[in-house]
Amino acid sequence: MSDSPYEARSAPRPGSPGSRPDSRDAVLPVGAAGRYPERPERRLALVDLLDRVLAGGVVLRGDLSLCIADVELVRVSLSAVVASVSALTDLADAPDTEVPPT
Amino acid sequence: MTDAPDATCIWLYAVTRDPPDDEVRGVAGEPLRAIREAGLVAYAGDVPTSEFGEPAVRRNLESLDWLAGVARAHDAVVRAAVTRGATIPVRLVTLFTDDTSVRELLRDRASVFESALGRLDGRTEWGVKVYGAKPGQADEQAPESDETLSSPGTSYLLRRRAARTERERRVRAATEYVDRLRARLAAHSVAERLHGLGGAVAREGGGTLLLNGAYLVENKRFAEFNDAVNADSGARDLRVQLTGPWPPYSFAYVPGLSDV
Repeated sequence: MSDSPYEARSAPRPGSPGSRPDSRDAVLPVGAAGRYPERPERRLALVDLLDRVLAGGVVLRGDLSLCIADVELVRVSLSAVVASVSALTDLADAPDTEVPPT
Repeated sequence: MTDAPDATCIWLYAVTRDPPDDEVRGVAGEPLRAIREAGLVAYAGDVPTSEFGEPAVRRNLESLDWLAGVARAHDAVVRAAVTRGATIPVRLVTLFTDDTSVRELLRDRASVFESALGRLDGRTEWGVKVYGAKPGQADEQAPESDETLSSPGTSYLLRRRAARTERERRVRAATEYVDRLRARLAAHSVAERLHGLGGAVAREGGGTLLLNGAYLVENKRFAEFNDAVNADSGARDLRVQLTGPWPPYSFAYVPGLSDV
């Protein structure tokens, strides 16, 4: 990159090893993978990720996705997320990466 | 669409200016291809219609395991693109039948994509969440009333009133805290987008989710942004969480593209 702004800060650069706990595993071929062993912090990070990939990103009308309306995609996927709510709330007291305001 | 068992369709990941890394694999474990047009590069993968096409994808989306795996793989590709330059992430499940239609899209909307890439250049998305006290916490910590001077009944009513006053004070303090935080973050970011507070997400972590914001931050100003996140000690029972770096999912809205 001609502009190399990431050097200007101490935080890890996007996509670099260790930038996020789950970024390394994410390249697994998922077609046949089925189930991942989920650590609590990964379950929580998943909610943030789904928030973004399902409701964010540019919406392009692919010729095949015409029948998957955005609203429907979110609705369909939301039911999967809601199904995991009990799992998430069970993890309420699990250690996580949150920092209290100092 | 054909029903042949080896039929594939095109899964789109991102629009950028630089070709993908050879090592990155897509949602089906497939190698990535660059579809080029008008100086733009679409990150694309050929994925089996039997899993990712209609109607299979609709059924698969109902499975959280499938969705989680696909979301992470999609995200990994977008992150790989971000490390190479400004990147517009494409929403999950954007499918095309052939390269020609992708090229047409890039050509027809080239100027819009270019201006979006310019806006995202050198900037990164960060998430900031604020959690309130867990339910019941406020009541348990209500101040004690003076038991020796009151009858048990009066004492009970006084405790309840004190608990209610304490709850109201906490809600007011939390609201003011979030307002101050957002003002600080606004001063150190170029855009804010608020994600939902309701439903499943709000219950995560056990406390009420009071803020779920995404911020587009100049990479060179991240240190100040990070300081702004943690600058306020005004509310001890709140928890602030910084997430990221994220590809600019929350800022990939491109005017005029949604109707393409």
